[in-house]
Amino acid sequence: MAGKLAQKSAITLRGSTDIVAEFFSYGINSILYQRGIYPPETFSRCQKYGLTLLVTTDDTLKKYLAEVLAQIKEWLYSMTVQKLVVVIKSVDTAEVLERWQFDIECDKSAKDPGAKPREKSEADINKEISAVIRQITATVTFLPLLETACVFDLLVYTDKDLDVPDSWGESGPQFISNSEEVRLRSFTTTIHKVDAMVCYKKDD
Amino acid sequence: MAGLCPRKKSANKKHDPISCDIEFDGVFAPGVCAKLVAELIKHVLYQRQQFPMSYEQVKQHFHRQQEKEGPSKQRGLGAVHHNKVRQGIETAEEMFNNLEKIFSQMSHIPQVVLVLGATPVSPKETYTFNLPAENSTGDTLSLKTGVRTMFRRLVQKDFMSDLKLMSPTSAFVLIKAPRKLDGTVEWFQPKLNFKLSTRGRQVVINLVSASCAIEEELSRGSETSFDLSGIAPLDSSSTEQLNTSAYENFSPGQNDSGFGGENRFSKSSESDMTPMLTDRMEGGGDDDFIWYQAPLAIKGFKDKSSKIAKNSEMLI
Repeated sequence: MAGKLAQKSAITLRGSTDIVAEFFSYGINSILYQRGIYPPETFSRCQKYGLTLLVTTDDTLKKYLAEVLAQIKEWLYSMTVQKLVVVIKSVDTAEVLERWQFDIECDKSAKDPGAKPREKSEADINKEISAVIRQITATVTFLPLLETACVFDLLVYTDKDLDVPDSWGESGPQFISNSEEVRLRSFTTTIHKVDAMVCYKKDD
Repeated sequence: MAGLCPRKKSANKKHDPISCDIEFDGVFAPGVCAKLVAELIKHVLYQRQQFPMSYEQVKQHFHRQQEKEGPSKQRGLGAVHHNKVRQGIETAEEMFNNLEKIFSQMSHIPQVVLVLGATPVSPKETYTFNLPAENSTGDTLSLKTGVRTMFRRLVQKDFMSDLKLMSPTSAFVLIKAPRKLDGTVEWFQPKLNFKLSTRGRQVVINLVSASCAIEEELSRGSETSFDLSGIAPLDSSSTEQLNTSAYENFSPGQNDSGFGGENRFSKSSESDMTPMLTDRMEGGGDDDFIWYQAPLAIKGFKDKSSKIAKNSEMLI
């Protein structure tokens, strides 16, 4: 019993990587649903973090996200990733309308040989993640309406001199001109800390 | 011989009220005010785990499901859950429609309260929405501007995420409005004996018109005390009728802890006063206010129809 409890509270680098990658998966799905990037009928409900979340049923999108997140997981494990950004832009004009940025801080001492697992319960982490996702949902109430069809890009900021896989290309930051920014909550596994923020084009 | 030991105080921890000011650069028409209050209620219902998704998402999914499956196909637990969702939405819609009506009927509504708990007098959490003062001046703002300003501030402040998780319960809505017992107020029931409880968590959201300097002063800080010297209490004939009057049980000199609302004033010996917009609550004459309660409570529910995701199900 004590052993089982210890497992639920002990966070390893691998465990933290899984948690953060999974959060990104649900977080990206939530953003795509909330902002109407894909039709709502292409999403199905599931329960995670004590919430009802919407996840895509579109096979192409699922495959794309799975591939991207598999790579992000590797970078999370090697602690070479700094940010993940979901960029939303107009199909017609390619103008960037929104930027959801997730800053990642890694405690590199967790990579040391013989590093001990950290003490933090899965329940506490899930509670923090739940708060971030509820805040993302609430944020949508004041964001400007996306009146044109939009697409999304995923940008990942990594350490310099990292070998970039062939399927990834270098990109500019895709900032928004004339924007407003709102800092959102963060969560931490004690090994990875994720801060969220949204930047959006001011509604004239 | 049996000894006496001092009675241990209850372990209930008294929390300081949480206060959030939201400032607007203008004023709102009554209809817009009603909609802002409705949006606040929807926000609280979702953030406090009374609805498993945001209100609009719950509605959207419910209607889509009905179109797809039809109500007749629901059986057993599925039917029970379906009915809970339907009831939650229908009650909320009726609430919001009647909020608009009462706002259009009343000259001024200074306060709306949302109580989460088994009954309005035994709340787990109480959300007091103090609305812009009647004498506020400025440009008339649209609903869009109001909603954006309000939610931007609420999201930035985000105090609800720090509150303890809550199981589904009932949500009661009460409105403080001018006394009209002639039957012109529909749906909402006058509650002359109602007093805001000090139990449970208290959250105060002040919607303030930036042009009103008095409102800014009164709404700042949860420990502000107010000097009542020079303000004459109502006479006893008035206090018999107005049981919810701010001056009930007041004796000058007896309670120096400040003015924050009738319940604190008469019952609490502690000085943690929730700031209220006292200029509106002073009774007498044409401006006396009473509480009206919505006859239905919005009942929270959990999502029982979607699958529980396994760990790492989303990843390769």
